[in-house]
Amino acid sequence: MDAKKKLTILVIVAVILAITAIVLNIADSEVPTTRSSSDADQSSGGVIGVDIIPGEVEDKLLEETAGQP
Amino acid sequence: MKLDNTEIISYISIAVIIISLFFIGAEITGYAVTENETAIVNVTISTSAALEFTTALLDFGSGYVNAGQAGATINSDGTVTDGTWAVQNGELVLDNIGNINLSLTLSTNKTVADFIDGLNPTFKAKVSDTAGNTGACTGTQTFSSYAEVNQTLQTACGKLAFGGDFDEIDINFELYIPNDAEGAKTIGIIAIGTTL
Repeated sequence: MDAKKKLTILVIVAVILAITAIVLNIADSEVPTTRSSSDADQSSGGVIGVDIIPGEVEDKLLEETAGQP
Repeated sequence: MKLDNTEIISYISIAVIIISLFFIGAEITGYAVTENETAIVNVTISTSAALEFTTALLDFGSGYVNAGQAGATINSDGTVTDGTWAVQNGELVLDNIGNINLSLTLSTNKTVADFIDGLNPTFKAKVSDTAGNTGACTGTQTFSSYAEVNQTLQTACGKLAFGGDFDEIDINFELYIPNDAEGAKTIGIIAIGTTL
């Protein structure tokens, strides 16, 4: 193996190890033990429904004519 | 002594490898322990506020104001006066499903005029502990008896408790429906919980 190939392998190994070390440092191994609090105001909704229909209409004419022969 | 480029790159690479191995080794294995060490495991359980209408719909159904009456009064406690609506014994049920006490306000998403319409309609709410949940609602209670509920946030429970058998309340409603109102009507009830 010529010197150039050895150098290339050495550089590649160095780069891989450097990236590994950086990643391990960034991805801290500590286990998170807290989570964000969700104490903000909470809301919920309900619905009320009602159907208002027209009332019965009194038929005055029928009442007046009912007693006539 | 003069170094050529190949040698410089070689030395730099070797240095990088040594430094990287040091950091990697420190991450994976930590350091050697030669004596008893103590550690602390810490956990923090955060509070979480949450409200849920376990019964979110109250439908009074269809009816009309009796002839000759100015209006009818109906409520979800089973009262129907001067109207033909079926007796209603339901209510909205609100549960504090979080793990912290809340201050509870109630409001509506529209005015009573927009809801019922007609001449002088009224819309009232009443809050009480759900059966088996005595002590759920304490403190300031604007709706301990039927009181107007509208778009203004009003305190229903100064403290709405959480957990166990004391975190649920019933919300009943009473409507005065004038004889000139007509149509299918709905209104939204907004419950807002603020952590104490």
